[in-house]
Amino acid sequence: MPITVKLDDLLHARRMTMTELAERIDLTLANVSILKTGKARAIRFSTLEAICRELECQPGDLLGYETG
Amino acid sequence: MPITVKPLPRDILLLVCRVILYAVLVVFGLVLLLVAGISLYGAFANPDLAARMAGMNVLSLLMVGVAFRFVQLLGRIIDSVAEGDPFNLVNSGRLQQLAWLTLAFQMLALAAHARGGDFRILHINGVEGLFSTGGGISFGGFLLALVLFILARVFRKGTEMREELEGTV
Repeated sequence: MPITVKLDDLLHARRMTMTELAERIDLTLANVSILKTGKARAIRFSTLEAICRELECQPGDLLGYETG
Repeated sequence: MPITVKPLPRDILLLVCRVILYAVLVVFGLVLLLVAGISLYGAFANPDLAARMAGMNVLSLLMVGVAFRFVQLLGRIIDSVAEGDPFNLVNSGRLQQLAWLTLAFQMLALAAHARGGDFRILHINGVEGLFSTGGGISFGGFLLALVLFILARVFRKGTEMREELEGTV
């Protein structure tokens, strides 16, 4: 899929672990892992909103589009 | 190889379905025996009748085969309900198979009826009896096939939607 998820980079930059993020956004660790590894097929606006709130970023910082 | 006996479903509806399926199998077995009996009678007492029954026997065997497969597939779908995961692509394929089997059964019934017209009146031991194949085009059968095709499509779409939902975070 040409949509990439840059959650790993954001977590690294904020010095935050996946477990910590999962607790803060009320998502299971398994689902955060699915999102981080790019295996998710869709993302809810509520999840996106929670991630942006906790990581203090914009949706565009989290998602990218790769051509080809 | 050890013989494993499937436990009876705890759901009363599933249990009733299972019993009905077994009853249907028994009925089809009896029909097969009846056809075989008439054929044997024909072979010994009335060679002319036996010749006319030959095609009928093949059609009957095919119909019983189709019905057996139908009941078998239905049983597997019921099992998947008991296991708690009926909405999958396997069951969608099974429903589609059931639809084709229903159509095949209708065609065979039609052929049997057309052929059965030749010997509707039999003379057995001097007694005139009516032997009707009772087949022909059944509106209900075609409607069932249509419903099964639609259900198969609904199952497939439902499975795709569930997979997408499972991948949503």
